[in-house]
Amino acid sequence: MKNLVRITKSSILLLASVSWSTTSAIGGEGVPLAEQAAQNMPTAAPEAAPEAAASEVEKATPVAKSADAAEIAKEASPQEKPKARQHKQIPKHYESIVRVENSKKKPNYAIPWQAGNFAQGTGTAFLVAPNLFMTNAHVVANAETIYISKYGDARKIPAKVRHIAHDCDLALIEIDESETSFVNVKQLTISDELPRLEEEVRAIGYPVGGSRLSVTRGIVSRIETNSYAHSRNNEHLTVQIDAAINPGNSGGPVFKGNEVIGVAFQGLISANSTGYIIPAPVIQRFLKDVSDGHYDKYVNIGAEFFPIQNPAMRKHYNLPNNGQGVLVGDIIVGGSSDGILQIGDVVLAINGLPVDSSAMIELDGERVPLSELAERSFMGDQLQFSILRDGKQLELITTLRPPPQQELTSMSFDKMPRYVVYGGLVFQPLTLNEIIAHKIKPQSVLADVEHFVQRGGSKDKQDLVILTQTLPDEVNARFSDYGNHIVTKVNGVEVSGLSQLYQQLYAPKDDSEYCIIELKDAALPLIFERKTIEDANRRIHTNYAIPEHARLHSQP
Amino acid sequence: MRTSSTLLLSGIISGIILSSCEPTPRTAVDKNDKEKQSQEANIKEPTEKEAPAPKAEPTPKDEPAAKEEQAKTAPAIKPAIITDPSRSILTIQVSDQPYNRMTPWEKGKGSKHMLNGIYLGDGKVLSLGMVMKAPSFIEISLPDQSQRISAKRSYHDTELGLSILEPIHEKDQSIFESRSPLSLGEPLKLGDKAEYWYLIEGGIPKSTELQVKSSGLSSAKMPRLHLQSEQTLTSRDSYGLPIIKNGKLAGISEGYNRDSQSLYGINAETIAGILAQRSQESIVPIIGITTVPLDDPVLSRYLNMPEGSQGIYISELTPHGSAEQAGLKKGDVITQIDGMSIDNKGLVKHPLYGAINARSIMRHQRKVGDTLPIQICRNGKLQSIDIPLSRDTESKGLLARNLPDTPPNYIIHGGIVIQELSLDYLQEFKSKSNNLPLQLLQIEDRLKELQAAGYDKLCIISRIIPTPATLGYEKLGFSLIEQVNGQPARNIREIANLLDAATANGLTSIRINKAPYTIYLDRNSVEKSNDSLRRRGIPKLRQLPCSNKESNP
Repeated sequence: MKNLVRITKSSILLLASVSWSTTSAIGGEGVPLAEQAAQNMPTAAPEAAPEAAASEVEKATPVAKSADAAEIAKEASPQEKPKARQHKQIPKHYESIVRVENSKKKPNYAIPWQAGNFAQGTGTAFLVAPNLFMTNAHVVANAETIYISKYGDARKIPAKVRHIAHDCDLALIEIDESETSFVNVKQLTISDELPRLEEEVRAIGYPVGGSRLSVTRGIVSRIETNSYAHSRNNEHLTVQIDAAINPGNSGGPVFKGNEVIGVAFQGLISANSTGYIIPAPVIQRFLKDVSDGHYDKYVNIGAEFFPIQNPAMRKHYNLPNNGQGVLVGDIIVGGSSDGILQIGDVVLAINGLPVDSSAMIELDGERVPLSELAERSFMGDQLQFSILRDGKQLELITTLRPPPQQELTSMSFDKMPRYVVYGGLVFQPLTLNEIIAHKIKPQSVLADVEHFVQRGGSKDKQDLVILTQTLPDEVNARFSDYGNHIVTKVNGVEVSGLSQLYQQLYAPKDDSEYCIIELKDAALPLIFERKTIEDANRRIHTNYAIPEHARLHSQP
Repeated sequence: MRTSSTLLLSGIISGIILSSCEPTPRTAVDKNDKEKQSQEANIKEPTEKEAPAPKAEPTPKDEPAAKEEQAKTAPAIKPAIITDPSRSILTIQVSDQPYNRMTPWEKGKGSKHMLNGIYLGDGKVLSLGMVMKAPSFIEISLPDQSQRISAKRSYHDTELGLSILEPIHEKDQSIFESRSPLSLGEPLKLGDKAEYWYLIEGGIPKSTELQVKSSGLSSAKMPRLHLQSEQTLTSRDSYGLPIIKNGKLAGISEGYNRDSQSLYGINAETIAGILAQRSQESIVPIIGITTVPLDDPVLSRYLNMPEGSQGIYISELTPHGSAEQAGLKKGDVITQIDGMSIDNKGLVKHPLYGAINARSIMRHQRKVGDTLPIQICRNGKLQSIDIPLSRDTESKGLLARNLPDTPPNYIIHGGIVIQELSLDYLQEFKSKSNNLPLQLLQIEDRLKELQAAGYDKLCIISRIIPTPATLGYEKLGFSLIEQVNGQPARNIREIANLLDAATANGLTSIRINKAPYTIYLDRNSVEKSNDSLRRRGIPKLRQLPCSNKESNP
């Protein structure tokens, strides 16, 4: 039931992410492991940084000489020792593992008209196809420039993102076809299998603590579905290992023997020796999804299932006491099952697999939540439901698609924030980015978000628009201190999205003396005199250095 | 199910358990408790939904110089006094134990308080109501503890903040033989001087001269006086002591703020209110409005306010509140109350209290049953309106009222705990956990719709006690009950009757506002579970309105 829970409780998970985001020391939350080299770096810094890095390599060389790469290999993987000695060269797969450096521009959702924060980050990537490297989405999210550098090679080769999947924190980056450095480099193969508990694994990458390749070793400690911190609102299978995984390891391969069984991606702040890796099944699903040249995201069933364990409930639905069948408890409007399944249907089987009363099925010899079917499916795949409705057995087909309005409840990347500033009031669409940036109390918007995302509120609205802040000026000085209220009406017209709000504010169709902005749960409407507003807007934009009074499209 | 959701759920549940175990917040009247007194002023008014009142507790800056203060250290006991007011003082001990809103079948953790009372003659003792909301035992004693008697409340008004006590046993009237009663005098007004009487160690009476310097709001948001003394008062025993003018009772002390050195007092006119009370219902009306002071000239122009008019803008009306019943509407601006103009800060100039919150004066000025003349501005025109004052929201509103001293209504049906939803319940939830469940948030948004649909008092499944009858339903707490057996469930009595009614297949269906929306219960299983719940120590499976006897199916 993973997908269901995720979708139906998305608002609640969203809460969790929001609160955890401020206190990441609380156990249980993963942290992406890309190293943030510098916050708020001036624009000139990226040029200076490579020099610094290069000189560091030089400085480090003498030390590294004594501890030859072969020596590192010897320490790291004893089984390869004879080979390494014999050929006096580095293990072949080290060349496939590259250091990723990028310069990022993190959009500023708190001050949306600003360019954003410039920063640099590092991570790891590995060759999976000619000139194509796999890494984490969070390593290259919001990146403006990406460079990769090969093991033992100081050159920085420019790269760009080909596919990025924020929901499972994976990305493929490519270098120019004309680049020949990797022609003879081994492409790493990704296993089809999950490792077993206690099996030994090695993580290789470029974490903090030095500029050269690092190898750490550990065992598989735990295998379970867990949240992926990057998007803050996705859960997939993870493998926990006790090999040290540190900032910069992100995107690096984790080996069992010579096969890649996962990609290192997050850790826990509050616990020791807990590194999380994205396991092979998730990687394989990503690769299959993008094989048509486009990433379609994860899909889900779009229904919530309720266990039929109560004898009275079983009696009502005329079910024998055989532990089979689960109730459709809720349907997400606009989701995969909308219009197909109904609340009160009893699901007996999906794709011929019997469903038990706690919504579990048997898949590949293992009992898993039925949502695992969607987890392994792709956009457009179909599921066949055998259900009981009003005592009659029916066969229904649902076509799977991603949950509606997912962008509202997950973090967005590589986009500039949308906003409208009017009379010093800053309006923004309500998404997870704004909720986090403005520390909006999730309880205050929960009911609206739930309605918009799951109850069809998005059918006649593009956005939920929220007043995020007021830039003090004489035109708004007498307004009471308003918190973050959802904007309901402007000049008597229902607000249906940011663009429409902009039109209502900046190009009103009536010639009323006043502009009236109504907010949900606010005591007073906000009233401007139109004759004063133009001057005020000009003044505010000058005083607060706002280049444009709106950004309606989130172009990168 | 994913762990995260389970964790969150258990988080919510543990939150509730926690809150149900927590002691009641008020323990302010313990003898040595100096710090908590100032908190008294911040306790939220429980019954009426209103925007917060301005903090009107100014620190005096015009205090006399230290030199003067030294000169006047001797207590100014005036020889003119005929009777000794200190002989009206009694000591009162009370253990206060309200019902627990989260587990309605039991009382919460009690708290003990010690304060004073004032003998008014005729066997009546005046004391403060704030610690007597749900007294399980009251004892009145002489200040030297030479005689102690058991007492009860004869009248109590939480909103006025006052109680009248009397001995339980007729023979105990003898305790008053050594006391001299005080009679009620004229109310105090700003600038008036008065004496404050108290007892120090060994029961020695002392008095201090006080002056009314300003006013503020009590914990129930009613007007109260702030009195200053020229000498430092100890905060000890600042509860329930007499404030005397011309030998008569002019007020009763309700705490002392050490920072501003001011004594809080309830005025004689408020005391007159409780003395005139003839029933247990409060005489303080519920106006039922949320207002904002109109301070924005642009908004005033937009509302076509006549030049020079100021007031408070009505942004919300409670259904069945006095204001709604008088025909007031959202967007009306109240400009005058009982002839007193409202300024742009929402204050009126009151003859007794000076500048004070207009909405508090609306509740204070007249009592339930009277009418309150006000002036409003609607569509740019000033008009006079008489508001008939009532507390109808309590009886007619969708949310039940919880009185701390009467058991909340509930039904335990095979482990499903059904409770009337009350404002107190919601507020307690909000204050103790940041996680007001989505279903409860949705109810708040739907009140108007539910009222139109004919609901009378909303009932929720407040929790599920795991039993064989509730197997699989463990996570369905905090959901609104909409129907039982297909019939609308408009109040708790209707729900009880519907749950008791026989059905063809022995199943009862309950429709709620949460997935899976309809749940089923087996009557036999419910009965067995009820038996086992009784054995597990729940004394009573039902508490229904106007009936204390348990009736089980």
